[in-house]
Amino acid sequence: MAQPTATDRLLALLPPTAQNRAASFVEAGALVTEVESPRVMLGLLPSAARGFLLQRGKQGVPTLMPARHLAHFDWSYTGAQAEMRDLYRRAKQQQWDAEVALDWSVDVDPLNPERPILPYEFFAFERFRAYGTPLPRGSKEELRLRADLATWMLSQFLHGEQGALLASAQVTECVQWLDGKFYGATQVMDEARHVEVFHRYLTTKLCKLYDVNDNLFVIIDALMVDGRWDMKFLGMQIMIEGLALGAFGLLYRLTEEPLLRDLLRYVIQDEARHVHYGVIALREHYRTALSPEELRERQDWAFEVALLMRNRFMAHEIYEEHYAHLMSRKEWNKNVAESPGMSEFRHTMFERLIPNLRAIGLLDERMRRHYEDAGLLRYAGGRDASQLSGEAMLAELDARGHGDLASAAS
Amino acid sequence: MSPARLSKHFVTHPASRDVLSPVLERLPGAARRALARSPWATGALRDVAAMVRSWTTPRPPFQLIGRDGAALPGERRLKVLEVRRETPDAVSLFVERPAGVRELAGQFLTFTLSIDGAEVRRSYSLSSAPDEPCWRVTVKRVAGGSGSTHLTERVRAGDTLRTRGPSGDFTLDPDALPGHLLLIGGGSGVTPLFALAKAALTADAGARVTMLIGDRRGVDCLFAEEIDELARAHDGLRVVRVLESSGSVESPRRIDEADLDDALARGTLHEARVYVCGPEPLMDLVVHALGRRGVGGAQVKTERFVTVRAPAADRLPSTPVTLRVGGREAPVAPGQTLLEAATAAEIPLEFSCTMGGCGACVMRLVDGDVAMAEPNCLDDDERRRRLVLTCVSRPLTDVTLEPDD
Repeated sequence: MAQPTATDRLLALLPPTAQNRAASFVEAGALVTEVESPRVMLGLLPSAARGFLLQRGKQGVPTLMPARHLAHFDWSYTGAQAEMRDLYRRAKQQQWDAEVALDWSVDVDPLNPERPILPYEFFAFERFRAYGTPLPRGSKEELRLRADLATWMLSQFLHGEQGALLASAQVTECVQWLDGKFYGATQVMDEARHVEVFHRYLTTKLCKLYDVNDNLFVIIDALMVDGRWDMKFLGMQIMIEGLALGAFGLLYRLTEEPLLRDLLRYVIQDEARHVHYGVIALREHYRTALSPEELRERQDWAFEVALLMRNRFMAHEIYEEHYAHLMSRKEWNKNVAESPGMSEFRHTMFERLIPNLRAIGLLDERMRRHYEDAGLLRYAGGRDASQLSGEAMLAELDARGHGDLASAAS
Repeated sequence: MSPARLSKHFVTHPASRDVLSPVLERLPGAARRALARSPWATGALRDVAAMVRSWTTPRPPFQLIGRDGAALPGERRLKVLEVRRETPDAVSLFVERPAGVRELAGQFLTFTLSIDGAEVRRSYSLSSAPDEPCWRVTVKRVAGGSGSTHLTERVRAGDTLRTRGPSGDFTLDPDALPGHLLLIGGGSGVTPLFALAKAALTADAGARVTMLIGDRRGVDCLFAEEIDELARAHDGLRVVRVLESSGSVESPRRIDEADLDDALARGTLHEARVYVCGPEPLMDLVVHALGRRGVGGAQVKTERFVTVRAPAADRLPSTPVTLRVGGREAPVAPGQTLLEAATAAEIPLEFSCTMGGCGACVMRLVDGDVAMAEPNCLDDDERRRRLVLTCVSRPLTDVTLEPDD
């Protein structure tokens, strides 16, 4: 178990509910120390205040985010981009109707041990014995927890997809290439469909929907209010979509639930195109249009957000629901971080993400050292989104085998 | 601007309204007006109020999304062990029997099916007798019927079915068998009759049982071989099949009064108990003909297979109403049934099939008015006595219920 610090001891004096809330504030404050670049930290601070302190995503009411960006009109319709035009053509051909493509009549029982949404090995259940909750494999409580964890992940996918829907619409306004706007329109449609399918799956099959995770809220908030289109692009198309693609790929490989597997198969094909578009658009822009100073800011931002995503997606909503009375938030974080499923999740995420950062020019010598220190440079040799189609990615996932967690690496 | 209007105008969350109003009331008028003009200030106020609220009364980090009827307890997920095709358009689903559940022959199960993303509930009679190792429901596909098409075409062994029941009173007490058990039906109506015949002959191998079965063509007849085998093993069972195809095309042969007289002649009228289940015209004919022969009342039991239709949404009130029962009150949301509302308020009411088919949830309406899904199992006399089925009743006004004694 983690060694208690002075803060932990102070927190322990509070009643349990207040303890949990205070711990989340402490974690928010820790952001200041975790983010090395002061500029990135200052940029994230307002979003962090809205997400961590004010909990705007968790009030049970809609959130209004002021979006400040410039819509780009071009009355001469110039700016042909062959690679984007090709993506647009493929996107049109690969549209699908979730109503027809998926068999919604499948009866999903999240507690069915023979078709679990997540495998038993995903979560480090053995560790919880130490806290007096043995959770034997296949017991109702164990199945419930596993189902809730899957529901939590899918809820975050849904919230992320809503962010992508709105951000892709904004980006479609902002970009200067006509072919980019064409392509962007198909992406808006794709994201709407993803919101549709995840929402439908959660509300009609799992019958439960978790709030947006504070950390996800902070990143979405930061992107929505940032007026610079390339930051929206970097955040949404490269970082969040990259994260999502890793998570979708993992879940696609692990789940035994046929409807979800089908659903993810379709979504992955769309997402691969989205990341590809992000790579094309930013590669050009970052090579030609930014000052060294501006490029440096993007590099730092991407690095810090990658670490935040690695260190902070710890299913705290599940903790509050099931474990807040049994262990401290810190212990929970450690247990989740070291569970095989989360290790594998980080592995697949960085495997997708880092090569894309390389492709858009955010992985120069200076950054390589940072990534090296964070233990992430080993992913830098992989294929980026312009070299890896959705079909190829699915074939690779299928070849890795189904339901197997053994390749956990990170 | 009054505090209430100010907070209503700018603070969308009802929870933050509770927290804000006392603060706003204490502010001088000028400060209140200044606040109302500044979206930034009202936004900040809302955030503060929500934060206070989250410390004092935390809300869970998730919401549960109810499915129609899903909020009611008692649903089981049962595995389909085998799917057997009985006739070209009918299958038997062999379903695991949950431990400790004992049904009466003739009862039915209610399935909640997920079809094209929508949830539908359908009831089907058990064709198995209570002493058989697993439950068996036999489903005949109805043209255009989504539930029966789903069950006959798509369900495979290994699937699970969300199941309620067993329910219904089309049943036989095995300890009080009648002198002559007469089972009359046709089509899929044979399903519960087959279960009743098996149960009667298990209770008393020598019981006098007559099955009068009408069917269109020989191939459609459910359980034909199994019934013949049962008849070979039991001298007391007589099976009469009336096939439409044995008549002419112009005047197909159907069960008629002569068949009935013939069947009733196997015993005295007063010792006969008759169970009727089948197509509506057949049931009407049989019930009338029996009545003319002085056989009626408790001697005759009927079971109708029908599709229940909920009342049109525009008939229902659009705002919540109140349900009063047993000295307690529960709010009923628009579209909610009385049973769902009571259950949500933890007022325990009896129920079983949730389809208006079994009568387990019947109560008397003391005050108010409801719209019931139709058709259901209440007869005219019961309706005159203001009895309602809570599982299919949606209130039109505030409603008071009491148990029916």
